[in-house]
Amino acid sequence: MPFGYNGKILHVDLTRQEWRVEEPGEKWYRTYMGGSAFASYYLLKLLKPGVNPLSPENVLIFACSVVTGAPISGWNRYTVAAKSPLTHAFGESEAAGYFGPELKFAGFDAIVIRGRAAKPTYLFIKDGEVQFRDAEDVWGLDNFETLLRIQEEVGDKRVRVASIGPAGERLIRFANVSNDVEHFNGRTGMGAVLGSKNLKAVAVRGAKRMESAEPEKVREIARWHNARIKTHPPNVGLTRFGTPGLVKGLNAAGILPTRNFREGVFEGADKLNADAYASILHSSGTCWNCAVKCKRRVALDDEKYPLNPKWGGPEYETIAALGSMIGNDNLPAVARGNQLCNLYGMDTITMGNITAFVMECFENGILTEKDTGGRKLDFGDPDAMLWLIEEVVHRRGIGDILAEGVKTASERIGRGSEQFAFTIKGNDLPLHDGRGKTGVALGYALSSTGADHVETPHDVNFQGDAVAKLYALGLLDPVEPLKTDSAKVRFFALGQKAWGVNNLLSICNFTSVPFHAMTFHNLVEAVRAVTGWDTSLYEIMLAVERSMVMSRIFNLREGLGPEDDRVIRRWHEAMPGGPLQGRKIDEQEFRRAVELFYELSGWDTRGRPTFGKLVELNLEWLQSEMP
Amino acid sequence: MMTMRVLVSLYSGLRSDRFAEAEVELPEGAAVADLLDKLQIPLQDVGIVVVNTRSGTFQQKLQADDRITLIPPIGGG
Repeated sequence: MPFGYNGKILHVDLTRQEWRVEEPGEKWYRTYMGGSAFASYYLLKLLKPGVNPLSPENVLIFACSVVTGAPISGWNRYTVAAKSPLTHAFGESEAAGYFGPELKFAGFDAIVIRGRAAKPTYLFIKDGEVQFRDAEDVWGLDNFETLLRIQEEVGDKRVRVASIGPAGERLIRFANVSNDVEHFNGRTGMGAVLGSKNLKAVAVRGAKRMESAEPEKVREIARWHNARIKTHPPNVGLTRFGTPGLVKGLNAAGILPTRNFREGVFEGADKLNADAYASILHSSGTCWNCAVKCKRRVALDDEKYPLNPKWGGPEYETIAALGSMIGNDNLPAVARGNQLCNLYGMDTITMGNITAFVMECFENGILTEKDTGGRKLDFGDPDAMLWLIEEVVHRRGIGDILAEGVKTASERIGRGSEQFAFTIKGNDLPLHDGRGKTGVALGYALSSTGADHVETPHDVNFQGDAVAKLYALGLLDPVEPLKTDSAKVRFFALGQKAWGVNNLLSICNFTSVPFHAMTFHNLVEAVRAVTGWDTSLYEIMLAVERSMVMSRIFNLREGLGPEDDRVIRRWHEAMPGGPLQGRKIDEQEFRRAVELFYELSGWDTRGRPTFGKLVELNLEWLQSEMP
Repeated sequence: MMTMRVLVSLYSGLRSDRFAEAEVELPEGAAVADLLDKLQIPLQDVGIVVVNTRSGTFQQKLQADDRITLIPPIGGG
């Protein structure tokens, strides 16, 4: 019997309303280990290149890792993956909360979903059994009503529900997947893939708990980890202030994305930071078995911006997306916009990027009141943002075009709007400015999902003596956040794989290596104690690289190339003010850094992994998939 | 009261109106939190504490000639 995982992958065919269980064996689990690699494996095996992401042929995967559900803080995430309807490339988004562990407790490590149900359906997975249930009465409901209705229908308030709202049903290309309306697989439009399959939700419930090979050792590490979370400064900050604590530091550093990434300092930042958040704070929340408790619930009894503590509180990304990015310093309006997006099931990062794009087009006369039925959409107007959310979710007027995402919308609008549409591989940007963190710029350029902030080492955390947190990787020189030299490429390549350990094992970055409370040594010890495998950091990082190369090959197969490994035009232009005034990323230097990364990674000059690299990673089977 | 000197490096916005690197005098037996008080840095503004190339805490007692690095919360979100 395996330890830490079930050894079972659930395959669901929605067209035929059939399910079966695959038991791939220990060698497969040890090769791929978790979320993104499980997803890449099935996408490469089951999907042909060129498939319409919103057709029944697309394959949708929910995946945990071999250690998800082990009782250690932060070991609670899961990924949802498919070919992305937003980027037409590898799509994936992770979330925490309670769904991932519950899926494991229900008896499965991952779900692979194919086909399209003839009518709205939800899956109810309980203790190893699967039901296809009629979702016609929940179709059209928002995520909160859906959650309540499904809890009622299955007669269990502790069922965990991953669902889509109206945005997913209407195939809005940045629709997300909600998990209990507090946690979201937000990016790359996975909610639209559920919508295209007539799949309203996946509900899971399980009575079992995961068994570890050395349970006392796991408990010992968990106790040490939870004690360290209480004193380790990055975790102390997250517990006390949540991610809103980032607003002040980023603004002071001159890298708080402001007005569509035009500026890095927002004059209204004091109204959006952790101190201001106290005015709407209801309570702290957490995820399954996590001592950090960084989640925030908000409440406000206000006619214009009412806030319900059950509909989620904005985190840093959303505060910047619906705040500084659109020049808006009204925090209750940000929180209201967040709750509307949560109920409708839309990614707040993309919604903020779209709003900023529209506002900059308005500022430049590319879009006018003629395009919006008389509504002005100016930077700084919180009600314009709330109005746009409604237009998009109802696909009304200009909202119907914007529902296709920033890139497609700008192509349809034309008139020079493309110059204000900022995406990488078709994905708009999480709220970090690469001009102040070139490692993040490399991460945005090279991630298979397009701009992605959780796949990349934030280099500002490893300046000066703080590089000591990377000594275990053999990185001994302080990191210079603004440089794009060979030392930065070395840092990035190793740092990306270190960050990737968390992503691959479905572990929350906020609890883990390289700079939160978990150490590399104890993480490996814990994986050994959970799985019983005599494993090492080397073996896990090799699996991370395997995962990255697999999603890279998926993208190459879809026609992406080195020209897609870039950042946005605006980052090659000088920052107009603030501490980083005049700072820009030199385009040629950045290109050389990307090419050096290819070389260092064993990729050819076109960014294609060499056969030698495939051999190293035990991926020879993918040679025939290379275009 | 006996005093000691420690070497402090500040990064990013923490440098505004302060310094990049300086020796700071503290009472003997002072902790990192006392250093923050002396520099008038709110705890909220510090994301990373490193003491002599090891992860530090706010409660950690300092010794003469310790090297302290402070970085604000400016990482991922």
